[in-house]
Amino acid sequence: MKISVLQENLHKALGRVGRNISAKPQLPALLNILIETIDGRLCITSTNLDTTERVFIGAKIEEEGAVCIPARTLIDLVSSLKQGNIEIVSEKEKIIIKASGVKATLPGTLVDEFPKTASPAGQKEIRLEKESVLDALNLVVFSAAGDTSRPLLSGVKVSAEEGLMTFAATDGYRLCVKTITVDKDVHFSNVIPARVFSEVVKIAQEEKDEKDIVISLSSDGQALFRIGDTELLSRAIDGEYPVYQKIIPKNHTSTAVFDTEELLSAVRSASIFARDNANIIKLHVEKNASSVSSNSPQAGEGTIDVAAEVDGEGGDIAYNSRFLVDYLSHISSDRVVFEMTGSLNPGVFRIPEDDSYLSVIMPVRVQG
Amino acid sequence: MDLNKTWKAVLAELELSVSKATFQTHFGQTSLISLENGVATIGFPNPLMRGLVENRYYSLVKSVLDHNTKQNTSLVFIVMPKKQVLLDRDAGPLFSQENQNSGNQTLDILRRLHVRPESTFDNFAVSTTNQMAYAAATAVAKNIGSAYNPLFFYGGVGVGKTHLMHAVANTLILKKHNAKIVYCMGEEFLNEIVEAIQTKTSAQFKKKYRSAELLMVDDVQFIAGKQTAQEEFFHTFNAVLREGGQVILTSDRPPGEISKLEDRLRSRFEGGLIVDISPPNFELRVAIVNIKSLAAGLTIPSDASQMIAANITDTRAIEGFIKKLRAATNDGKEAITIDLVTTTVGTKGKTAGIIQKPTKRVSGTDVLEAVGSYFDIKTATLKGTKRDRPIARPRQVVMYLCKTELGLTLEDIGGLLGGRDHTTVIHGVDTITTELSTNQQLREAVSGIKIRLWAQ
Repeated sequence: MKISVLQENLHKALGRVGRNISAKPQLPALLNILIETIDGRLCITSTNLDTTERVFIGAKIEEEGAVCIPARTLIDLVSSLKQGNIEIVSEKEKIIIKASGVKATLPGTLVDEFPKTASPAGQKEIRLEKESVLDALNLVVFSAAGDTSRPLLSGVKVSAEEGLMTFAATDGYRLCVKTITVDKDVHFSNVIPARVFSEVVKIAQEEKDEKDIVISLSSDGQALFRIGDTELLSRAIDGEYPVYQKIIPKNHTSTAVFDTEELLSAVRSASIFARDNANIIKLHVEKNASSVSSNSPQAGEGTIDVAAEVDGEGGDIAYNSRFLVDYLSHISSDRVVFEMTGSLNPGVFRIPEDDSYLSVIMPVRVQG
Repeated sequence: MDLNKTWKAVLAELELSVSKATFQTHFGQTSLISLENGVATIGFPNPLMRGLVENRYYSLVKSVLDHNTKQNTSLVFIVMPKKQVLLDRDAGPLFSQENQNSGNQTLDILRRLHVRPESTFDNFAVSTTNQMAYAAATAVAKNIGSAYNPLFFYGGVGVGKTHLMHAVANTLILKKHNAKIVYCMGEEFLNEIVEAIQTKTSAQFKKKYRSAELLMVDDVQFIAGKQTAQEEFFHTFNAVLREGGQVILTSDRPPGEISKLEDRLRSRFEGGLIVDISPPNFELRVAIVNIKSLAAGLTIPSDASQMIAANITDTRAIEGFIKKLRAATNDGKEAITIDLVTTTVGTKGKTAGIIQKPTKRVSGTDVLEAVGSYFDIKTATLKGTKRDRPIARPRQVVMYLCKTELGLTLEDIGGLLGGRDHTTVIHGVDTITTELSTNQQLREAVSGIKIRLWAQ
C-alpha cells in the first residue's frame, strides 16, 4: 500500500475511531486500527467487537492495500505531526510514515488478525433528519441503564410507526420518552445500545454540516448508522423491551410548574446535604411554599425555597437528586411541569405545551 | 442426540487446545444450533466473532466435533445473538409497582374499607336462583339510598350474599373515590360497641357508623339477642337512612325468623326489600366453575367443569377445588382433563365417589338392583320385612342413594322398598350420611355402587 493523506483529515478520523477502542480488548488485534483503500478512498476502522466505527477520508492512492497499525502509537504520532501531507507506505511487515522532516517505521500487524467488518449490504436505508434525532437522543439516552447487567435496559427502544418515531429509555428508576415526526413510511422497532447512541450524538455534533442520519438494519440484527463519511455498526439488542407505556401515570392529583434553572440550582444546593444520605432530597409541593430540602446527620440540613405554581393538594416526595439533576440539565425549556400523586407514586415531568417529551421518575421511599 | 451435551463436550476439548483468553472470547457465547446430515450449525453472538472463528479455528472446531460425533461434519457458522429476556419484576421499581398507577389507588381504598375487590357484578354468575337478588343489587348500586332501602339478602352459605354486597360497594367506589362505606360483620359490630363502651369512645363509634353513605352488615343475625347492640344498631340504622344513606344486610334467614330480634328492628328490616338467594343449581354452578377457573388462570374443558359442578354443590368448596386443581396441574401449566378432575374429586374424602355423569338417567329400580347385586342380596329381600343388619344396611344405602342422588321423595323411596314409612327412610338416609364420614368400607361400597350405576 502506498498513499498520501492530509494530516488534518487523518488526525480527525483517528481521533474519532480511537474513542471506540477499549482499553482492555478481548483480542490483542483490537488494539489496532485498520487502514485500507476502498473505492479510491481511505477507510479507517476500529472495533471492540460490539461496535465498529469506520471513517472514510479522501487520499491520494498510489498503490491499493491495507495495513493494521497499533492504535495508540499511530494516534499519538499523527497528532504530533504538522499539518500537511503524510505518506503511508507498507513494506512487508513494516509501515513507514513520512511527513515533512519526519520518518517513522512502525511494526504492522497482520491484517488478517483484524476482524472482518464489512457493512451489511443491500439493506433498506432510513434517512432521518439529524437535528431532531439528535434532540431526541439528548433528551432520552441519559436515562438508560449504565451497567449491562440488564442488557435490554442498557439500550434505547426506538420504534417508528405512522410518521412518529419514539425513543424511550429507562433504567428501572426513571423513564424518558421522546417522540419526533418522521416520514410516514418509516417502520422501525429495535433496542439500540445507549453507548452507540452516545457515540452517534458525538459524531453528529462534530459533523455540523451534515443534515441527515442514515440508519440501515441487517437481517442478522446489526444496525448501521451513517453520518457523512462516518459509519457506526453495532448489534441491536435482541429481546422484548419492557412495555414502558403502562407505567406512565394516567392521572395525577397535583401539578406544579417550576422555573427549570431555579429548580435545578435548588436541587443542586440541597444535594450538598444529601451526599452521605444516598443523594435523597425531598421535594415539598405546596401553594406559595414549595421547597427542596435535604438532611443527613453528618452534613446537617438545608431547605431551599422554590417558586412554583401549584394546583392541587401538593405533598412531599423524595427523590434521588442525581435523577432530577440529570433530567433538569438535559432539557432546554425554561419551565417544567411536575405532576404527582402522593409521595409513593412515580412523578411525571413534562415540558409545558409539549406532549412529545416526558420523564417518569420513581420516588424514594423514606421512613417517617 | 443432545445438542447441548455434544457442544459442551466439544467446548471442553477446545478449551484444552487454545489459551483460556482465546477460548473465552471466541467460544464463550457460542452454541450448537443443529446437527443434521453431517452439517453442524454453530451460532455466534455477532458477525465479527463468526468471521474470526471461521477464519482461524474452522479446522480445529471441525476436528474436535468430528471426533466427538464420530462422523465427518461440515460446519456452518451463523450469527445468532442471545435473546434477552427481562421480566417486569427485574426491570426495577418503576415496573414492579406498575399497577399502583391506575387501579391501585382504588385497590388501596377498597382494602382500607375491607371491601373485596374481586367481588364485582362482572364476575357474578346469574341464574334463576339469584336473578332477583342480582337485579336488586344492581338497582341499588345505580341509585344508592333510593332504590331499595334497606336491602336484605338471606340464604344459606356460599350462595353469593356477600359477593353481591361487595359488588355494590365496588361499583360505588369506582364512581366516587371518597365514598364513605362502612362494612362489618354482625359480630364485629357487637365487639366494637363493647370496645367503645370500655374505652369510652362511643362518640367515635357513633360517628363512624352513623355518617356512612353505604352501611353493609354481614350476618346481621349475630346481633339478635344482644340488647345494647340492637339498640345501637337501631339508632345507626335510622341515622344512616335519614341522611339518605344505603343499608345492605345479609343473614342466614329472613328477619321474621331471626329469634330474639327486637320488633322495631324486624319491622325496619322488613320495610325494605327482602330477597332470598337459593343454593346455586347445576347450570349456575357450571358457570361459577368457569368464572372461578378463569380468575385462577385455568382452562377447564366443559365436560370437566360439568363434572365439578355435578359433584360439588357449595360455591366455596368449588373455589377450594379449583385451587386444588391449580396445584395438581402445576399452576395451570398442565392441561386439565376429565380424568384429572375425576381423580381429584375422588381424593376429596367425603365426596369420594360421588362421581356421576350428569347426563345418564337412573331410576330407583336401577339403584335397587345395583345395591342388590353389589351386596349379593335379592331385590325381593331388600323390599321384604327382614331387618337383620346384613340386609338393613344395604336397604339404607338404597334409601340414601335414592334420596341424595336421584332426589326421590321419601314416600316414593318408602314405596320402592315395599311400602316403608317415610320416617324409616329419613332414619336410613341419616344413618348412612353420618356413617359415610367415618366408615371407609361404606364409602367404598357407595362409590362402587355409584360407578356401576353411572358407568356408561
